[in-house]
Amino acid sequence: MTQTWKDKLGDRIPADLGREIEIFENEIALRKQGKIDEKVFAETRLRRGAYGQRYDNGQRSDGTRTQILGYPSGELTKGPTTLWDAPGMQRIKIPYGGLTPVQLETLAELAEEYSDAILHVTTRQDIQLHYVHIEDTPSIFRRLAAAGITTREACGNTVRNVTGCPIAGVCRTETFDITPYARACSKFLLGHKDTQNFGRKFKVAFSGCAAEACGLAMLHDVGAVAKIEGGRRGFEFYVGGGLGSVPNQAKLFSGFLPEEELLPMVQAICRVFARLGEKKNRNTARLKFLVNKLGLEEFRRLVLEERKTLTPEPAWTGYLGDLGITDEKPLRPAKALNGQPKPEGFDDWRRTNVYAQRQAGYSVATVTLPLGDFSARQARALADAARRYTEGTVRLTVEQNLVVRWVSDADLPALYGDLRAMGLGEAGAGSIVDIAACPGTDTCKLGISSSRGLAGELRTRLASRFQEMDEAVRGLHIKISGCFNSCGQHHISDLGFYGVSRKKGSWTVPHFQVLVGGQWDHNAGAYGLGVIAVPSRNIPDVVDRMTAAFLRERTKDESFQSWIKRIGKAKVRSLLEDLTAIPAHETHPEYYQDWRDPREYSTGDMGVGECAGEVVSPIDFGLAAAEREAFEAQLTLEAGDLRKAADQALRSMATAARELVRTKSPVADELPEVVREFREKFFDTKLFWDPFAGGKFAQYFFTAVERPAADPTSDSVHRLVEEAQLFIEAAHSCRLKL
Amino acid sequence: MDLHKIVVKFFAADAASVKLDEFIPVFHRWIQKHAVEGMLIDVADYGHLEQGPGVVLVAHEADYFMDTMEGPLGLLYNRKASSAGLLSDRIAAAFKAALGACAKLQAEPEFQGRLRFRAGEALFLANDRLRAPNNDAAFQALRSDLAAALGRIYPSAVDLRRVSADPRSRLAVHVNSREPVADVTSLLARLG
Repeated sequence: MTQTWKDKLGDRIPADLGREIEIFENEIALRKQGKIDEKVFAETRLRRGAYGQRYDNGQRSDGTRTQILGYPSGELTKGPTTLWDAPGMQRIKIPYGGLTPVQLETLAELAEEYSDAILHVTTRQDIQLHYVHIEDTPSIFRRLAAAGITTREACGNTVRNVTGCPIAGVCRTETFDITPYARACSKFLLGHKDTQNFGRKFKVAFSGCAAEACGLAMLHDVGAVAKIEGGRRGFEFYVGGGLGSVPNQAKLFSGFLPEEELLPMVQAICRVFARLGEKKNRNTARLKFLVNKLGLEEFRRLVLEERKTLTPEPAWTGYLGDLGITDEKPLRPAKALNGQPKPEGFDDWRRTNVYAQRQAGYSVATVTLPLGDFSARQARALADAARRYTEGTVRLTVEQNLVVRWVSDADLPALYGDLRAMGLGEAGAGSIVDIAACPGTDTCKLGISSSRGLAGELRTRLASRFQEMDEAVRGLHIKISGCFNSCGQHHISDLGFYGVSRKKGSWTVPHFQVLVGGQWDHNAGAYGLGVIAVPSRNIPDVVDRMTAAFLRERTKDESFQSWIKRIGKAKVRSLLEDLTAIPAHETHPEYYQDWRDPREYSTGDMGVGECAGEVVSPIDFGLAAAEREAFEAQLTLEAGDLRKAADQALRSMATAARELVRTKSPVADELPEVVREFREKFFDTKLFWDPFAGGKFAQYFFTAVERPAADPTSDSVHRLVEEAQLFIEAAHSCRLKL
Repeated sequence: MDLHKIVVKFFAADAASVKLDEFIPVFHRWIQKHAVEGMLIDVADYGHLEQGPGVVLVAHEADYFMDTMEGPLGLLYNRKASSAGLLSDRIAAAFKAALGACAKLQAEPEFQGRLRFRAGEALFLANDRLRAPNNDAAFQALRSDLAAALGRIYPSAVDLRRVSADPRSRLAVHVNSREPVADVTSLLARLG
C-alpha cells in the first residue's frame, strides 16, 4: 500500500488538527459522491482557506473567444459555479506574520509540489498558494500542521488571521510588545464556539503604538493599540473598522481596556456580532454595518451587557503569566557596523531597508518582495539566512514584505550580500517603488483590471529613477486593487488605484479609478476618495504628473496628503482630465489590453462593428454626467457642506439609474418613477446585479432614496459618496450587459 | 517507485538572447491554438523575480515554465496529473512533452532563431518528497527507470549526477549526454 503524508507524519500532527483534516478529507470524498450540497462544501472548504480562483467556472476568454475548459471531473463542483478540477487558491494564516525557518521550508516544499513554486504574501500577513487542486489540500494541511501552521478559518465567515506590527518587541516607539497578546487572541478565537456563527468575516489587528502604520488597527473589525495607564497594561480599543468597497474608520470603543479584559471583550463582541449581525445580505454583514446601524453607544452597551453574562475561561488570562513566551533572543552578539567591507548597493539598501532596533547593536532588515512574491528556492535561502544571522526570527508584513529581526549590525553587509545572491537585495522598502497589489485579474475571480500588471509596470519605471528621486516623492505609498474590494488597500495610500472598466464604442477598456487623500500613517488614519477613472495605459502618466506637481507646488515640508487637501480634488482632477481620453483601437490597440496581458480586454464574445471606436451612445454621456455629479459631491464634502454633498451624491446615483432606465423605456425624470422603473427593470430582473456582490450597489441607491440621513455626519456622507461612486461603477458594468 | 509528479528542464543555450516578457504572448497564443497537449488554462507572469518560475503556462495535467529557479533560463515541464504505465514510460513521456515544447518555442516567429535549447543536457526532478525524497536510496531506486527512459531518448550513453544532497530540496538529477546532440528536434524524432 502506498504511503501517505498522514502515515508519514503520524504523531507530528497535533491531534485536534489531525481530526479536523480528517473530517475535511471525508467531506471531499462525500462531495465527490454527491452526498454534500455544493454550497455546504463551499463554506467548509473556505473555512479551511481553500478558495476558488479565476476561470473556475470553466470558461476563459483567450482574447479572441471564450474557451470552455473541459476538466476531467466534468460537472462536479466544489461550490456554486466552481468546477472541481479547476485550480484554486490556498490561503495560509500566519498569525502576526511570525514564521520560523522550518515553516518557511515547509511552505517552499508545498509551493513546489502543489502550486507554481511561488509564495505570495498578502496585505494581512497570510501566505497564498495559487493553482492548487482541491484534492491536494489534505496533504497540504497535514504538512503545515506538522510545522505548526493551520489554515483553519483562513477564509469563510470566521475570525481571519490576527495581524500585528511586524517589528513588535524591537520597535523604538511601541508602548509594549503586542506579540503575546496577538498570539493569545489568535489561539483563543480559533475554533471558539462563539465565532462559528457569523454572517461575515471578522478581522483583528494589534498595534504597538498609535502613530505608525505597522498594525493598521483602524481598518479592522477590532483594533487594539497598546497603551499604559496608571502603570497598567491595556489597549486603546477600536471597533467597526474595515476597508472593502465602502471603507469605515474604526470607532473608539474604549480609551483603555485593561489587558485582562482583552479576550473576554473580544468574545463579547463576537457574541453580539453573531447574534445581531446581518446574516442574509452578506453585503451589509460586516461588524461595521452593525456598529453603524446600532450606533456606537448602543453597540457598546450591548457588548458590556454581554460581557457580564460570560462564564470565565482560563484562556482569558492564562497567557498573562507567560508573556515572555514570544520573546526572542539574538544569535550573535551586538556589534556595530564599523569598517567592514560593504557590497555595492549596501548603503542605498541600508537607508531604506534597515531599521535600528531599540536594542542597541541590532537591526531589522526588510526583504523587499516584488509584488509580495518569493519563490520556493528563495524561501529556503531566506530560511538559511535567518538561521545564519538570527535565531530564525522572521515576520511577514502588511506591506507584503518580510523582515529578519535581531540582525547584529556588523552582519548587515553579509546579510545584504546573501539577499542579493538570492535575488532579494532590492532597496526601497516602504517607498514609492514598494507597491502593494492584490492578485487582481491574475487569479482573483473579482478582478476587473490587472493590479499586479500595473504594479509591475510602475515598479519597473519608478525603480529605474529611484536614486535620483526627491526624498519627498520616494516616501510616497502606492497601493493597487484589481476591483473596488480593496484587498490592495487602495484607500490608505498617497496614490491609490482600483480597477474599473469603461466602454469605447463596442470595446471595453481597462481603467483604474485614481484615489487621493488616504493616509498610511497613524494606523491608516484617513481614507482616500476616487477622483477620476483613467485608462490603465495612462496610469504611469498619472503617477508622473501627480508627483511632479507635488514637487513643484508643495510648501516646505508639506506632506502629499496636506498638499492634496490644500489644492483640492477639483485641481487634482483637472491635472489628470486629459488622461481620460481613449485613442482609437486602430491606432492604439494597447489601450484595449491590460498590463502584461496581450489578450484583447473584453468579455470575449463581444462583436466589433465598423467605426465602433467613434460611437458614443447617450447612456455613455449620461453615466459620465453621473460621475461628474459624484465628484462634485466629493468637493462639497471637502468644503464641509454635508447636507448638500449628500444631496449631490444621491443625485449622481439617480442620474446613473435614470440613464439605465431610459435604455428600456422612456420615463419621466421624477425620482420616484426612476426608482420604481429601476427596481422593476434592473433590480428585480437582476440585470444590475454584480456576479459576486449581488444587488448590493442597487441597495445603496434605494437606501439613499428611502432612508436619507436626517442629520448627516462627515462619516455618513463620506460613505454615501463612496456608495455613489460604486453605484455608478456598477451602472457602467450593467451598461456592458445591455 | 510510484512516482507521477515529474519535472524535466532543458536549458536555453543563450539565456541573454531572449527576455522573459517575450514568452507571455507566445503562451497566450498557445492557449488560443491548443498548441501543446493538455487542457491549457492561463499564463502566470513571475518575471519580476530573479530566481523564480518565470513565465508559466498553466494547464490541468502539466505546467510549462520558462524557469529561472532551477538553474539558468530554460523550459521546465512540470507533470502534475497521474498517468498510467511504467515509471520509465512516464519519464519518457515527460521528456517528450518537454522536448516538444522546446521545439515549438524555437520555431516561434518572435524568437527568429534567437532561442535554442541545449539538447545534450537536462535536469530531472522528482516533484514528490513523499515517494522520492532527496536521498541516495531514492536516487538508486529511481536510477534504472530513469536510465531506461533516457536510453530511448539519447543516442549515446548519458551521465546521471544527483544535483544536491540537501534533504530539503527535491530529488534532482543532472542528465548529460556523453556525445554531442544536435538539437532537441533530433531527440524528439527518436521518441516518435
